[in-house]
Amino acid sequence: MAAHTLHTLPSTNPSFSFPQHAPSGAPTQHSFYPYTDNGGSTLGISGASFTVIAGDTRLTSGYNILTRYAPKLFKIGGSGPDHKGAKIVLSVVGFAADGRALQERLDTLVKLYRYQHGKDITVHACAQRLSHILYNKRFFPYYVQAILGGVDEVDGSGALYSYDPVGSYEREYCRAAGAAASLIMPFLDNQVNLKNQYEPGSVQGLEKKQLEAKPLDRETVEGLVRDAFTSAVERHIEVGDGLQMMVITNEGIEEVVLPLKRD
Amino acid sequence: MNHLPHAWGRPRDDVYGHYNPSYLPTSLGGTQHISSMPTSHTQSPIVTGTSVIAIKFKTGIVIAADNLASYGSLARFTDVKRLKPFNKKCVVGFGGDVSDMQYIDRLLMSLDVQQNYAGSAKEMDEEDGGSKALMGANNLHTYLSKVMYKRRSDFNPLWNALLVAGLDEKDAPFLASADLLGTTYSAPTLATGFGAHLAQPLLRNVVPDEKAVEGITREKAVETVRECMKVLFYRDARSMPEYSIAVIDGSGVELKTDEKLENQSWAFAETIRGYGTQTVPVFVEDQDQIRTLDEMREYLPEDGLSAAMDDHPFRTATDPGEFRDIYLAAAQAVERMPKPRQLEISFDLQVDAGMGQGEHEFSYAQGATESWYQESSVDSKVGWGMFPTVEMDDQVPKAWKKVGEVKGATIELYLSEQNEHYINYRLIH
Repeated sequence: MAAHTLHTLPSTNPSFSFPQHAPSGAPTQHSFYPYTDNGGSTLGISGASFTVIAGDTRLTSGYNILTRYAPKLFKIGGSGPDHKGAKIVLSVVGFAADGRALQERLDTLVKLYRYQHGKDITVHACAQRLSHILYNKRFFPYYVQAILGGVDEVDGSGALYSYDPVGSYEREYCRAAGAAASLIMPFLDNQVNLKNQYEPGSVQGLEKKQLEAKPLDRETVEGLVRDAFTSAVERHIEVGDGLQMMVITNEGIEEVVLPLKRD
Repeated sequence: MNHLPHAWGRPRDDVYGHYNPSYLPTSLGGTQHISSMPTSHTQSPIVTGTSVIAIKFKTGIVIAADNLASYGSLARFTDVKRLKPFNKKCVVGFGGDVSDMQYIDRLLMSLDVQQNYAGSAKEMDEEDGGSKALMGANNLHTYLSKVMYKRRSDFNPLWNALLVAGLDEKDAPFLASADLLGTTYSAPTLATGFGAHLAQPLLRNVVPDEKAVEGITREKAVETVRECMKVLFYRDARSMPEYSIAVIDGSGVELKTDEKLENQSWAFAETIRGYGTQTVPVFVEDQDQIRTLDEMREYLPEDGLSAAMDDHPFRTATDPGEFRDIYLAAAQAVERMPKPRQLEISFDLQVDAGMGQGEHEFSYAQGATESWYQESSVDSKVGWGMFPTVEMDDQVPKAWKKVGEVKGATIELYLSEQNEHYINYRLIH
């Protein structure tokens, strides 16, 4: 019987471009999978009086570029659909549809907060609210890595929060997320937190003195962001097309979009 | 093939072993009672439409989709309109499941009623000439994407990829997509399904970015979309040559639903065995049945020699493959003639001077002649082997050079004067 000969073939099974199912045993269930990965990368760095959040603008599906301009950065709060006066930025990377849904919910809640309390929400309150939104949906998570940025109302320093899809969060000085996170994050560790950098004159071995990280100035940070993305574009196919960058200061949000390689 | 419909669409027993029906209800040979089974929603689309493509131009949008609804690989419904107009300034193009498309179309109808019978809309309508009071394409897209995202979040997706094309509230061109996962995106050119692979690169060639949209006229956009529909028909096996195309601009929606592809070229494919309906020469077993030239015609390839013999004395072979097939057709025709042969065929080879690139084709033909020579045993007065004797250099006289001649029929082959890539032939009888 054909089935017999087929299954007694030597162990060098041919590979197929489609999934092979076991010939017997449990029934195969085909099912709808509600997630996809739309690629792209984001990154945030906080300074002494500002926070920079950036993301590329490519939206992918497998090897397809769906569009070259799909923002991953969203202003949160402010007034009206243009978020006039907003001072908080949310970046989302992962499953784009969930990202948009999350952004809309957070934006609505932040606007509602102002309506109910008569004052703008603080960044750390907004950060905790975002965590709650994500955690509430932990059994059917928003499949996104979020980064939230603003300026701390208490001491005027840059505030940056990063999240996992189910709401764990942490305030950090810098964070890369998304497809090229593993390419960018080590670079930031080294350049922002000065990891593996030692005082030039210090002795080798246990006596080595780690350089101490200090808040960077704005030009340096913007330079690091551009360098991080131009490098990520070279090595990751899901990153490219455009670099959207938002700088949040006490005065508000400045936005720029720079070109990246489109290949 | 397995002739029992029951087995269709299931893993083959000989490959995968006996089908395990345990998860099915008892009525279908399984062990499950309907009441005990969990609710299951759409897990895959059934009757489907293929690509939708769209492109922005300076003042509007062009969108197109073919009229086919497939059932797997079966071209099931050939007159399904997959572009749905909405309120004079939007068109929604549907790829994916057709029944879900019809459901969304009903949603759109009730949305249209809600929006346009809402009262104040009508007065505003008359003040500004009509279009501003209408729901913009951007808002329609938001509505549809919310519907799609809600359904995917309920694990009950509407299995479609939608393109929403039209004018927004400010009458600026708007084009965006929404799919079964609720993913939304916008770009100056969009294509769903197979079109994302085949048409999108062609569209992006014309409109690389939003800035380029300003330089595109309505005519250029329509031409580009038609060209893409042709390419899709060439290579997408789930497509058809009848399609719908809509242009939306300030003057409203112009929707045509019965367009046909024009100027198709299968010049390359027709020489390949297995493409379409063309016949590549095949030997006929019963040689004794063939007696005359007229009878012989029946056995010639439809698109090859016989066409040349009837209405069109001249045909143009556009590539070496076709050139070779003419040789083979003629050769086989002769071979089928009963012996002693009543007909002799030779080629009048007429070569233009300064062949240049023509050499390549010609040497190809030589090869074909030689291989034919080995396969058959025709003894005609003027041998087929005449070809290799023709000189290939610039010394070949400018005048047509006659290589051979026959009593019954003559096939002339010559390299075209206008274009060295082309080889013409004709049969005179």
